[in-house]
Amino acid sequence: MDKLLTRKEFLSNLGSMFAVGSAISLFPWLTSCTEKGQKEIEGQVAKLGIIGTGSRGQFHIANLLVDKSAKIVALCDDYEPHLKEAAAMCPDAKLYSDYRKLLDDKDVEGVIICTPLNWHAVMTIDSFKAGKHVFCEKSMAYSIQECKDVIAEWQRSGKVFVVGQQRLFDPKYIKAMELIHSGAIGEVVGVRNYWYRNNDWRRECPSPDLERRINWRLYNASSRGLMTELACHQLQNGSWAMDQYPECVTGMGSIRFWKDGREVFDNVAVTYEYPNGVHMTFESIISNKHFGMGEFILGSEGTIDLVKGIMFSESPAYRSGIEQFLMQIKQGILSNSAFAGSSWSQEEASTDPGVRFTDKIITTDGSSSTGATNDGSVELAHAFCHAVITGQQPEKIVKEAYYATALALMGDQASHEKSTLYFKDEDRIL
Amino acid sequence: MKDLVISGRKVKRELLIALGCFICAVLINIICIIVYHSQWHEIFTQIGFTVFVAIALYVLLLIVRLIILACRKIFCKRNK
Ligand SMILES: NC(=O)c1ccc[n+]([C@@H]2O[C@H](COP(=O)([O-])OP(=O)(O)OC[C@H]3O[C@@H](n4cnc5c(N)ncnc54)[C@H](O)[C@@H]3O)[C@@H](O)[C@H]2O)c1
Repeated sequence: MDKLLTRKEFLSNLGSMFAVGSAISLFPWLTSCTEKGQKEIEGQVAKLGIIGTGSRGQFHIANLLVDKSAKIVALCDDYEPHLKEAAAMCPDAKLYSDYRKLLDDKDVEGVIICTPLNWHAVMTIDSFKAGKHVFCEKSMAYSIQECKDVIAEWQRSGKVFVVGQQRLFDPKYIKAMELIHSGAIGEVVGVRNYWYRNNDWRRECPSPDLERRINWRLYNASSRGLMTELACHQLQNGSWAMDQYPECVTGMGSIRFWKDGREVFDNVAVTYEYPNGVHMTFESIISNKHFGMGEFILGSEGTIDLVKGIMFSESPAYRSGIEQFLMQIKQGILSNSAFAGSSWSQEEASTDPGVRFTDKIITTDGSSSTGATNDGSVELAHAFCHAVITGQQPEKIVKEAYYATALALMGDQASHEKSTLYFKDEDRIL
Repeated sequence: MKDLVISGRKVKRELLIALGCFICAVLINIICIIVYHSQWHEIFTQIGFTVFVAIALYVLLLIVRLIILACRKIFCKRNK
């Protein structure tokens, strides 16, 4: 697929939602996606090194290969099969098995770090020290202290820093946030997130010695489980919608089904409380996928389904039965109405089919652990190239990523301790 | 130019199919009223939507019939 076309589509999608100019003033980190942003870097390339060429690394490589503003000059992985796969995709790139050697390479201007979580902080800090711009995959780091160290080093370096929170570049989310901020659903009264799958989250492992390296997601030393791998994306929703950050979190988790030697929970239920009293929930179970992935902002006058890009009203205009039926067919969400009550009877689920608020909506079901297409990842990687070339730090991304990671880490800790944790003042650094 | 002759039998058949589609659409409307707990006067007030559904059903059926006809023709040619 031509990624420039995708960006054009992205722009036209944004353009159909609001005047692009006003979108940029509301969402300034999107500058790289505008025509002005494209012109600024015309004919220039960001010379990049990829550290960690596993599934996410290769996903980025595939996207960057068709981005005219990117040139992949170096690849690094300490697992040869993955390095070879990536080398086949970019035969001209220099190959390294030690990331520090890649950082010594003067050709590399910026690095994209796609390694397991336990490596994020050390690699990011070393990269800044080596004078490189950094795009680190989410979550930012393994602990809040590591996140703070990363931020401190970033601030010292004066380099560009981007973290893999691609929802910031997804048109559905952008439009939804614009609607929420304009009061379209009244006051925000709740935030509900869930991510259900039915698979063991394992990768095929050629030898038992490699188990902890290949299946790093399943072990405490390299992962904080569902919270840093899945929740981190969704926990951004509440903060973005309300422009504030939770005060405390409580949670629980267990290994209920996949008792295969893993150390991280296979189900969690976590609740955050915001200063205004709003609660944000995150639930994940990976042994039942009935509900799939869902993200909802609940308002006093309506609800926004962020994943599907639909807005529901609390007092929907009356629609005849056949009209509701036709709308449901049009929206492709033939919900089981036998379970839903009439729209005017309280305490029962609303049957309002809602209205789509973006054209050409592209939804993802959250089942891929590599990343979905058209979820903002391409635009985020392009924004990084733009930032490397211009030296301009895209706004908001680091702050959002820091708090999303901190909330995920606190949620993980709370669910291990089965306790309530308070967000410390000294951790509110941005 | 050749004159196109549509026999009365064919016209009658199409009218019957159209009537069938309309009856189906009315039934769909009734089912929707029951399922969505809406109001019975919608049988009359929503006639526009009913006609729309009837036309959609007719067109759908037409496509299916054309496909069957084409398959039959191909099949007959092969048998010859
Ligand atoms: N933003 C998103 O939507 C998204 C999606 C998927 C993954 N991710 C993130 O991307 C990162 C990588 O995930 P993945 O699925 O690609 O994992 P993966 O296991 O497929 O790839 C990780 C790679 O890093 C390599 N590696 C590990 N330690 C290394 C070291 N010290 N030096 C060099 N290479 C090393 C491994 O050999 C492996 O090839 C994770 O942090 C994950 O959370 C983000």
